[in-house]
Amino acid sequence: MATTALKTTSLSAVEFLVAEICRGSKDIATTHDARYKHVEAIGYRTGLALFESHSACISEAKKNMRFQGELDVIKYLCKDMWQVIFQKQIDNLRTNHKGVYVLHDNQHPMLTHLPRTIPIDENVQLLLAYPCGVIKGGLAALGITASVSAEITALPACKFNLDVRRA
Amino acid sequence: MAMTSSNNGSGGIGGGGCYFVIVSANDKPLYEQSFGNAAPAQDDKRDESKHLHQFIAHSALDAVDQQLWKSKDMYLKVVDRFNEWMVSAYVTPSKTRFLLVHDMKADDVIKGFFQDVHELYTKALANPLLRADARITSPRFHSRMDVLLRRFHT
Repeated sequence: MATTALKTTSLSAVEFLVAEICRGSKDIATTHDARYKHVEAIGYRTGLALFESHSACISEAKKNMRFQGELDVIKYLCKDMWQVIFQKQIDNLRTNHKGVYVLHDNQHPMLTHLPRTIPIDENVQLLLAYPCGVIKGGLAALGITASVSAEITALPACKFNLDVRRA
Repeated sequence: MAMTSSNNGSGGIGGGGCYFVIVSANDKPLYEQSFGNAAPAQDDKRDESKHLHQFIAHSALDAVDQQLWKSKDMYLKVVDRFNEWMVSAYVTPSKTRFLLVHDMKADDVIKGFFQDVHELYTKALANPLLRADARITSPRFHSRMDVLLRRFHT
C-alpha cells in the first residue's frame, strides 16, 4: 500500500481563504466574541484532523515513536506542524514547566501582508483566531486540553499563550 | 475449535482465527472484525468464541495502558494472555488503540499488519463527515480491512 503523505497546498491559498473566513464571519455573528469563537471553531476542527493525519505520516520517519509527554507534543507543534501549516517554524518557545507555554512567531503568515502601522483592532485580532483554533484542536487530537490565546506584539510578530489545564 | 495450523516459513497468524478491534481514545469501539475460526463445531461454540474474544480484548485494555508507560513505541507486541489467546496492541499518537486477539505468535507479521491498518485508519479519519467516536461504517474501509486480515491470517 502506498504511504500516506499529506497533500501540500500554497500557503497563499490558505492565507487568503482564512482572511475570507474572517470577513465572512461578520455575516454569521454580530459580536466580536461570537465571530472569534466561530473562526476559532473552524481552526479547531482543522487542527484536529491535521494533527491526527500528520502524526500518522511522520511516524514512518521517526520509526514507531509516540510522544513522551507534553513537552514533546508542544515541540512537535512548534517544529513539524508549524512547518507543515505555515511553512516556517516557531521562532521561540518559552515555558515555566508548569503548563504555561509561550510561542513566539516573528513573522506570522496571517500578519505579513498587513501594513505595519495600522492600529491593532478587532479585525486584526480575528485573523489570529484561526491559528489559535488550529493549535487547540491539534493538541486535543494528541490528548492535551489547553486554552490558547494570541497577542500581537509588533506586526508581523505575535505570540501564542498556551495554558494546559489538567482536567 | 479446530486448530488447522498453516505454519509455513513465510509467517502468518494462522491457527484458530483472530479478532480485531479499533478502540478510540475514549474507549469506544470504532470497528471490529473476526476472522478465521474455521471450526466445523456447533453454532453455540462459535458464538461463544466471538463473545469471548470481545471480553478478552476489553480486559486487555488495562494491560495496554500499563504498557504505554513502559514503551515509547507504537507497536506494543503482546500485552496480555488468556489461555491460548494472546492480545497484541498498537497505539497511535492520538491514543487510538488497535487490538488483535490471536493464538499464534508472529510479532513481525503483526507489526506490519498494524502499520497497514494505521494507514488505512488515517485515510478513513480524513472523512469530514465522520464524527468523533463514531463507528467506521464505510464499505470500502471494510473491504480493505478484509484484504489486510486475509493477508496476515494465512
